[in-house]
Amino acid sequence: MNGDGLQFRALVVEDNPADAFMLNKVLGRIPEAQFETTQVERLEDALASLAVASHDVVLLDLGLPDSQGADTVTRLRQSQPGVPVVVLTGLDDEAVGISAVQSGAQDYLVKGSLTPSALGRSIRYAIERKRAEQAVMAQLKEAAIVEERNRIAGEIHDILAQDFVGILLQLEAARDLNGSNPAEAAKCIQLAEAVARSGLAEARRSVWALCPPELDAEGLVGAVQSFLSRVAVGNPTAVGFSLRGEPYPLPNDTALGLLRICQEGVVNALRHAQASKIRVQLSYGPSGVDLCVHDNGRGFDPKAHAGGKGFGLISMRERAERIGARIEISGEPGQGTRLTVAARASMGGGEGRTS
Amino acid sequence: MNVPETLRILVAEDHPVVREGLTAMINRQPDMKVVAEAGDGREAVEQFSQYRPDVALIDLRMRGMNGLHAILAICRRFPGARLVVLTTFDDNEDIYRALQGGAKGYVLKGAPREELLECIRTVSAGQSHIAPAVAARLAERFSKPGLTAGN
Repeated sequence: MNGDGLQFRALVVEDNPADAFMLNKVLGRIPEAQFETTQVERLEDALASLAVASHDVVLLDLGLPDSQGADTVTRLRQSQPGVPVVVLTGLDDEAVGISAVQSGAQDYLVKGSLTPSALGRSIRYAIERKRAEQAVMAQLKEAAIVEERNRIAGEIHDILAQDFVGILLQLEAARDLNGSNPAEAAKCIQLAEAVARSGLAEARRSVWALCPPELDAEGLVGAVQSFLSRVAVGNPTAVGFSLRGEPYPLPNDTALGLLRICQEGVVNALRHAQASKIRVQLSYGPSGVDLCVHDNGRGFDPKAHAGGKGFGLISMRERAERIGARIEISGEPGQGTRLTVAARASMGGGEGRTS
Repeated sequence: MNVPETLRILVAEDHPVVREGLTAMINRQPDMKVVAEAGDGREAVEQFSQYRPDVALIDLRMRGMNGLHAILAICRRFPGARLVVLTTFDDNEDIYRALQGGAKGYVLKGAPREELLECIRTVSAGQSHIAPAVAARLAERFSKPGLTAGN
């Protein structure tokens, strides 16, 4: 009749001995559940406990010696994103409880009115909510991976594989013509070489675009400069870079998004614009970062992009949308093309930090 | 009257070097001539209507209107059209739709040119020519309940 029920491991983070005593007492009376608790008094100790042992739930006081308020939840979540958190607040600070939930806690309870059934229900809900949240996160991550995989497959398909087919056809032709028309055969071999060389350059660009190693080490400015110096090698087009304002760290996605838009803009200009000069500018201002890619080539012809041929344009727009940036592409035939992207600065994780 | 007739071919392919290579290779055959080229699906439909070639080679994946839509459009308007599907990979689901839609032949890009030429000749004679690996999968697909060849 008196089954043990479910077993839970709870981490109690509470520096007030009386509150901790009361909480343990209420935990002991929760029906159909058994709690094995560990108690610590500081956030640092809580993070250390979570790092070495798994817990089903954290019961968190927000007035700790080394951390106060909703910030405590944020720090806990950053360190251990998978652990459900129920916050315990004093009678007079329910607003703090709400802001704790906004910071990522699954629920909050007021200490003075704890009952075994309310606490038990809150803990079980917190665990379920966390599980659902983790499942959604996993799905989003999976979707992002699938999307990226499709993009890579598209790149391999549209560029590399087609180049190989082109090379094969030219070599077969050269074999056919070798006896009868050696000059024509030599032309076919030359064309095959040219296609192989451009395919190799595309392969290098694709691999670099997938994982730009400079972004971590050098930040956006360094990564853009490295990219430009790479494309400048062996290219008759003059590629220049200028920086305005004092660079500051950007969230990882923003930095990567801007880098890729810059890369696509420059590659488009090199491939299609027949420009003699390309200028790239990064401007760091108080409200955000502007990227500008400007060339003096034959200009942007809207017709050339009406039939869906502007793959690069579509994906630059998508990238800009994903990082919440405004993108504008302007130009007229003969007047060069100007691509500007305005990304708003926002607080958050800095570039170079792994997440 | 005994002079062999020259097969008039349309090549629809968006990669310029591939299109040029296919065209040159076909034009080196004494019994074939490329009469029209197209760089996307829309052009393929237009060129087909204008030139009415004996055989059209159509790449499935092209920017703009893709090859599948072009094949379906051509087969609807010209039920006797003799079309050969080209793809870079043979696991493309659209191959089956194109064949169900009325294309008569399928060749993987990069196959030995003898295979492509044989396919063009077979299809021009009104017969089907489908690479064995794809033919086997096609047969398997049609034998599954719930999937019918008719629609």
